[in-house]
Amino acid sequence: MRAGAVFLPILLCFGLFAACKNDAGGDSARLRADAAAFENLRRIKSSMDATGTLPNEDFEILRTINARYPQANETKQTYRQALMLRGNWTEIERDLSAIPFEQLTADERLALAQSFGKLGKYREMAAVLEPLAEAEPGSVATSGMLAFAYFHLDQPEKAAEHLDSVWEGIVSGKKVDEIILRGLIYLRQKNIPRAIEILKQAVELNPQSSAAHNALSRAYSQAGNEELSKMHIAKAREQYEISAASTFAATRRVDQIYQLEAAWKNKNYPEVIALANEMLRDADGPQKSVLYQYIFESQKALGNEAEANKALEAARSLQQQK
Amino acid sequence: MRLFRHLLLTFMLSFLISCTPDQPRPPSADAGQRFNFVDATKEAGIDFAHIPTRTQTKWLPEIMGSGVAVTDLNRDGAPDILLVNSGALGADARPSGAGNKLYINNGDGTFADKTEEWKLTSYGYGQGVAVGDVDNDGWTDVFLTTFEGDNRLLRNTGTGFEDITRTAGLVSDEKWATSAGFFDYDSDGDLDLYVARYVDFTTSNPHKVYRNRMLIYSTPLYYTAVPDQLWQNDGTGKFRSVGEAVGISKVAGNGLALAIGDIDSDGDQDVYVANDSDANILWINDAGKFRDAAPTAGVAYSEMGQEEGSMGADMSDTDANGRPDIAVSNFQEEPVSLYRQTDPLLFRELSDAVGIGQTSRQRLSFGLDFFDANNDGFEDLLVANGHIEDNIETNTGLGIFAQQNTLFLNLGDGKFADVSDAAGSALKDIQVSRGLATGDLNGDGALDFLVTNNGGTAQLAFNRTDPRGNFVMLWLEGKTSNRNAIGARVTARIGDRLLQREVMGAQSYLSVSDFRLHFGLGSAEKIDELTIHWPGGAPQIITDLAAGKFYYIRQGENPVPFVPGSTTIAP
Repeated sequence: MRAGAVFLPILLCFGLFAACKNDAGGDSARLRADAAAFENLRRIKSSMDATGTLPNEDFEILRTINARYPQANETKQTYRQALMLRGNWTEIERDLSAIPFEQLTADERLALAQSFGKLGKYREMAAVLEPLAEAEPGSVATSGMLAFAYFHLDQPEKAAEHLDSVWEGIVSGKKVDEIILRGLIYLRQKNIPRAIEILKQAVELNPQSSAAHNALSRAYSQAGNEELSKMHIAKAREQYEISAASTFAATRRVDQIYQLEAAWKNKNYPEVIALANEMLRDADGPQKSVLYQYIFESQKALGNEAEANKALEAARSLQQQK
Repeated sequence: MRLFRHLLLTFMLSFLISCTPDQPRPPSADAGQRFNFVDATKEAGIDFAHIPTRTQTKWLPEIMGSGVAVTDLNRDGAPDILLVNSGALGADARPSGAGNKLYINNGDGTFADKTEEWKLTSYGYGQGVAVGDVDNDGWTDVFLTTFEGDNRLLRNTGTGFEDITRTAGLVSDEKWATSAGFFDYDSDGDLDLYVARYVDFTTSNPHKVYRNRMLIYSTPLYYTAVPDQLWQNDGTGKFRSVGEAVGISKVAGNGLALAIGDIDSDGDQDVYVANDSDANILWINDAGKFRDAAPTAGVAYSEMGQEEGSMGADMSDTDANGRPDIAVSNFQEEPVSLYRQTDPLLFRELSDAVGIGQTSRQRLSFGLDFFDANNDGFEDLLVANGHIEDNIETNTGLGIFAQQNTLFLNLGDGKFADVSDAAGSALKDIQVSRGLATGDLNGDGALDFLVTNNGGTAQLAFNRTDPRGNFVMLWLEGKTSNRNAIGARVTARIGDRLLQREVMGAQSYLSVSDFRLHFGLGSAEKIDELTIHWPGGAPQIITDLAAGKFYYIRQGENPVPFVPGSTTIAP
């Protein structure tokens, strides 16, 4: 668990915000008049939304559009979304800091605070969030972020204060990361029974959280219950291994996709077939259909009609199932 | 075809790599102290260049760099320098110019290349170095680790090395060894050997990892971790593997670095292992058996419970509460973790609160070392930085491959300030840094440092900080304890202040710093009382040690002042 993970949903939604900003330069109208740029922007945004990735070449196109139409809201939103996707918190901070603070929307302030957090500037993060929390006392997102900032600044009491002020919202919203944080604060305050109570809640809500198991193991150990401590150490380890395996599988798939594309481009059909067959093992329905199409085209190119037809049949059958 | 491509792209949904850029920092804090670390590499006669393998397929070992030892090999009181080179992966022999190098200190801050004369050999793809007097003959021996696991123990005869690996029983299982360190885990007066090990990478099974469609160096997650090793010395210089018997073989965790010291102040040495992208380990030594206390102590993960890409480690009492703290260098976007020991074996990660987090998040850190850079009695922190993605700048714009090393000044109130930009020319030499070791290399009472750079020249930096405080330097030598006094804990009372230092068998990354203990005294003219806790021996108390001097202390005997490099102290 990291602050980044906690606030990612906020950030991914950020592209939807700030739509009502001034467009003093008329950039928006000019962008719409530039059909190629507008189409590229639309394509890149929908690709980011769908895949959560952004190839370098698309980022460069986006950067050019942003330089040409910097005041267009569509550009700003998409460009910031791209920066977040690429983890470019420095540029987000620079971008938002260039706007007079009072002109920033609440969501932009949250994003600025988030960028401060990612850059380890927790004092600045807290300074941005405090007025927001005052203006909107019940906001779980704002108070949660503030709590993380103060915890990193080793001010557990202040962190606790902010979490407690929205505790009902945290629990009803099943905000596991904030619950773990509250447990860690109790641990730091040496209130071990309360730490155990809270962290047990986190584990119940998300048994897959290695961070929750880890924190609970620390609490049990400090309570002298080595047996339960060991049990949760083992569970934290187990969940960590599951997560590592999943990361590995995802990255391996990307590797295979690039190899498949390269082989296809080079007309290395036997390799395409071998790779596609390998990838079929872990693919889901729609992915399988695409892979069978690769096999079909490759077998056809190699003159293996029978094998090609078999692959085509498999692709069709999958499409029908869909 | 459009749908086709779209479906392919959906494969990548979960492939999201984030990275924090290398970005401009706020002005360095000026705590009234200017440092002056001068790049003295050339003038000192160091001409070492690290030669790594470079392939299009980006094999993981290529990017790991190599280590350095700062240690006195000829007993003249002036530390010498041994630099490990890497060479050619998969080749039978190192290419010309890619050998390890030994520089003997002339005693005046210059060095002579004595590689040939001392018969320093080079095997395999070199990684790390550890030093320790394994046969207690008074001459510090050398252990070299390699990617192939073809590690070597070189006995120091006083004028050269002889390879005693086989006779010492250090058989290879051909696994990737990284950092190593000598310590007397069973308190029998001789030095045992801990070897950290990484993953089961071989050049025949490299995984390919991409970022933005560009091939990058892999993470260790795609390989199986290799368990570390512990070799017990039988007192005659012969070793046997005891990892299973003492409990360290049951956990494997992508080991890269070691910090060996008495973390629980119970008189024996414990081992902290920095694991890359896995939980770190804190082996607590309970009468020669080890248990991992890292998860419950709060030093296995980040404070928020996240495993980190840990590369280097060190221990020191940074807030003078009498308990050693732990620092761990990590991947970019993760801070250098400072775990402060607030209660016995309970730590809080306070990197951001103490002023280390912000800068260190912008760097990918490897070697790190606590050392008192201005002789004020507070341990500062030096960190060697450099990314592992050689295309990071063109690929993402989120950072740079070669990065500035970082000097954090200990402000004395438990906090640190990044003073790198006001620390002299050496901190302006920007390379892809990996190994790091410290020691007073020119005999002026100020601690200097040496950094290794992946695919670059090693850098020697002399500490010419002025003004700086007084000092006392101690060369401890055991009689019933091991000769290097590894594990000795020394407390110096200076007026109302208590400073604690320990002779550590390993710290940093692939490297080891000088064993001599350095005490910065500030303006004090003497150490009022010195208590030496010899490993396995009775404490020794010495009073009124005058500042500005180097002392040789044989266990149980009176201190003898010496001038580094001027005379050889017979073993």
